[in-house]
Amino acid sequence: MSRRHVVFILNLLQDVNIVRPLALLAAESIDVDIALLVSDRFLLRDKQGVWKDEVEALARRVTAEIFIYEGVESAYRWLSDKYGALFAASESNLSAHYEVHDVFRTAPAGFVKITLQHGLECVGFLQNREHDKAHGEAVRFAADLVAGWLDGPRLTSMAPSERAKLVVTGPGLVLQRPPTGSQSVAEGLVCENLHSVRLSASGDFRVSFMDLFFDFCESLASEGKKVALRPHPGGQYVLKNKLSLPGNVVLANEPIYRTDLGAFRYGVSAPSSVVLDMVLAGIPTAVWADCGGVMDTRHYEGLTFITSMADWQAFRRDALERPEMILERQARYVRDLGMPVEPQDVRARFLNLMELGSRRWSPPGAAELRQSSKHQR
Amino acid sequence: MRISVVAPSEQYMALAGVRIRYQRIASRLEAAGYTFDIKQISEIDRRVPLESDLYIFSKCYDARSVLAATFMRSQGRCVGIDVFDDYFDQTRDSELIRHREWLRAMGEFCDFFLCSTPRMHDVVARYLPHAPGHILNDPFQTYNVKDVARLAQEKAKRAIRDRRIDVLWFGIGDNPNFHVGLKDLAAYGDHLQQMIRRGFDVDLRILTNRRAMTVEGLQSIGRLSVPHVLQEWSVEREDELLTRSLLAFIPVNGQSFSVAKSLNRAVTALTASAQILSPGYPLYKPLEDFVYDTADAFIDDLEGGKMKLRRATTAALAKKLAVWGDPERESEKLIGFLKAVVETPAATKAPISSVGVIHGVRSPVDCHKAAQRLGYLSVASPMSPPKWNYDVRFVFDQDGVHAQFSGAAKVALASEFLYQLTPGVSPAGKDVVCLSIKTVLPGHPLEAFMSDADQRSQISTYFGAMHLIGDVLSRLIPGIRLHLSELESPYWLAFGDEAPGKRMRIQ
Repeated sequence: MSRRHVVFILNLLQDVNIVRPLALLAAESIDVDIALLVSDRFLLRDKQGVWKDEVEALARRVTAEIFIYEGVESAYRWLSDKYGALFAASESNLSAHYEVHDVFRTAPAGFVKITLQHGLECVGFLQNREHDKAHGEAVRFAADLVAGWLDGPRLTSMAPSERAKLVVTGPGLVLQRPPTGSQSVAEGLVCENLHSVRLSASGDFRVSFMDLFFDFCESLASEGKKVALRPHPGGQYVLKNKLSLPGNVVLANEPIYRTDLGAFRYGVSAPSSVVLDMVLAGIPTAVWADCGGVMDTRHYEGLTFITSMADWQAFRRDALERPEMILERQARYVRDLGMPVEPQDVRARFLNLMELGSRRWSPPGAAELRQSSKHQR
Repeated sequence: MRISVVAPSEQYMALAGVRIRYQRIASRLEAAGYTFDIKQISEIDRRVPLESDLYIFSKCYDARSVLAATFMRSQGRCVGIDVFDDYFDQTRDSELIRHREWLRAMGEFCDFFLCSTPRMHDVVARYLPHAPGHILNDPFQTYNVKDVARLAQEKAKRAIRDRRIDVLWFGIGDNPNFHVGLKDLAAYGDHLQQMIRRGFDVDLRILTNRRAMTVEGLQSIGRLSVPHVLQEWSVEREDELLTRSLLAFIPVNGQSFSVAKSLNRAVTALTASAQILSPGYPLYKPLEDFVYDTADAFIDDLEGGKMKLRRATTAALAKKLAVWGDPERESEKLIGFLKAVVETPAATKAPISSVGVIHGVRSPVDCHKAAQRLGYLSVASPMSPPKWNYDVRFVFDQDGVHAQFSGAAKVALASEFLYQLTPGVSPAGKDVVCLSIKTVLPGHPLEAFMSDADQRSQISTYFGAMHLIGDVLSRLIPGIRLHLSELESPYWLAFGDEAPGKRMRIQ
């Protein structure tokens, strides 16, 4: 049998963001073979080939083998002579996750399987009403353990059958060390996740978001300012739908771990985990919500909300002139979440998990049986 | 004599059944002066003269074979079936009712049947009491006795030296109707664990078809407590791994499907120099001198240097195999049987004027095509796919129910209806001729049935719908023989499932 492994499964494009800090952590901290188990569908999804390059760069950096699996049987065969910990960023019994779910269901007994919470709001962990509508409230995992960002009582969407699997780690994103001190390309950063069910399950909010964004761009243009627009890494809605963007919009499509969020003076997004990225990066952050109050935004309650042009402009003014006021509010929000965010703490929690997964029992061979029976005598 | 085996599809040609059963005797039949070939069922066409004297259907379990057999018999050919999987003995299993109905339907046209084992013979004979049956043992591939002896000895020596047993499980890993294949392997896996307890490491290779490698299949072998390597089956890999492996592990469970299987896996393994461990049902009893049923007995013999398959026993094996699957002998017996069949005059039956097939909920489009290729009528039911270009269908509009007929169907209509025909266009966009049911069969219950949209396409009315259509057609086309094409089991239930051999009629 080969050396113990820490294997990361990549299936959705955004999985790379979640998995990357953990692969780096494993490489620098423990003596294991690291491998990236990539679904063939990942490559199909990666139409521009951007993420393939990222995965290859990561593999070089952590000296990991990349194995591309086509169907559950090829993953099964590849895993069958290995043991250790098997991590996935998006695994559940939802149809969108079957490529990973099936690998978990069939993974050899020598692996501990761990599903990572991949966003603050995340199916099976903490869902908003739009998630509930689209995916139901009984999402389950094939994992042995699930690594959550918050403690059990706050992860209100965990099915009772899954609760015993919870290990609280906090978000791996605090282990990222993005570049700092870079020259800002624009004053503020606006993030879109228009592909998400959050913006469509209770009505189509995509148009009102984009209308408001365009108005905001126009008002900035009159001052000769620019704004950066960041499409969701998996959704890429504005690019896929070829929306024409105003002249003062700069696309910020680099992976999050290569984006210096601190270089922006403020950030805006519809409800999405990127809100938390910006909050933790310490920039004034606003959450956009529809003016009718239909979208479920309760998990962001406590942050600054904008629904109209007036709100947006007021937020910008505060962010530029009195950022401390917003930052203090954000610090309170993070504290109230009760989420581990200290990098040293989160690091130790993940390392525990990786070590745990690397000590799994595997069936003894004849020699070991002989040894143990001698021992008993 | 010219003999053709009729197969359902091109993929079928690569299956073990074809390779083992027919290809190993083909050359011997040809050497004896017979022409032997394997045809796809789609090649049977009324515009192409039938070249063979005798046709054997193999694994064609749908209405296509019933239609083709009807056609062959009408051309004076001998027709038979070869059955080597038991889908017919489970009379309480509603999933398999379509197989039982198929066998009953074929019974009417079969002059004989072939099968692989005595048990299979008993099962088929219950459905086809008047047809003579013959057991064609799966012929083995010619092998070299000396090579088998040498390899068996080398492998046993290596196992003792390395304290490791190379084991192979090979075969089809799944079946849509039965728990077999990988499930058997997992269920009997403890026998392999016992070898480890006896001090030998086990290196298990699993060779199976890709379709079996589902989550459920993988989960079951994932629970094996011995390390294993899974590979996709190919004939070359099977040869290579049997030659390499000391042991072929062939557990057999006791369900009717499994106990009717032939000896071929054991014979293949033995002639490739592998020992056999076959726990479970004693399917390989005829070869018991060469088959282990427990891991302990196997390990005892291995350590004692007295493996069941060894140099000293190869002569006895050859003698045994000569009885159970010598290709020479099997082809001779087959020729003798088929000659007798051809020479027996077929019972004369009343000629059938028209033949049609009614399509049910799930009917393969190939059945529709086959019917038209053979000059038979393809008939729509309210449940069948609407877009096919049927010969007969019933449509409902504000004027009531109309039967629509293609040119071919028009020819078959009783003459009294011809003057009542009106031109029309079918839902598939073809020119057709129509008869108003109200006019030609006043008061027929099909009219009321079709007018009720709620009734038209429900499971509970399936039986009624088929019978009404059958009844109307037998009035409009006197003497028509109708078959049902249906792959969805629950629907067949409506026709009842009585004793083997007794067949329900649609009209």
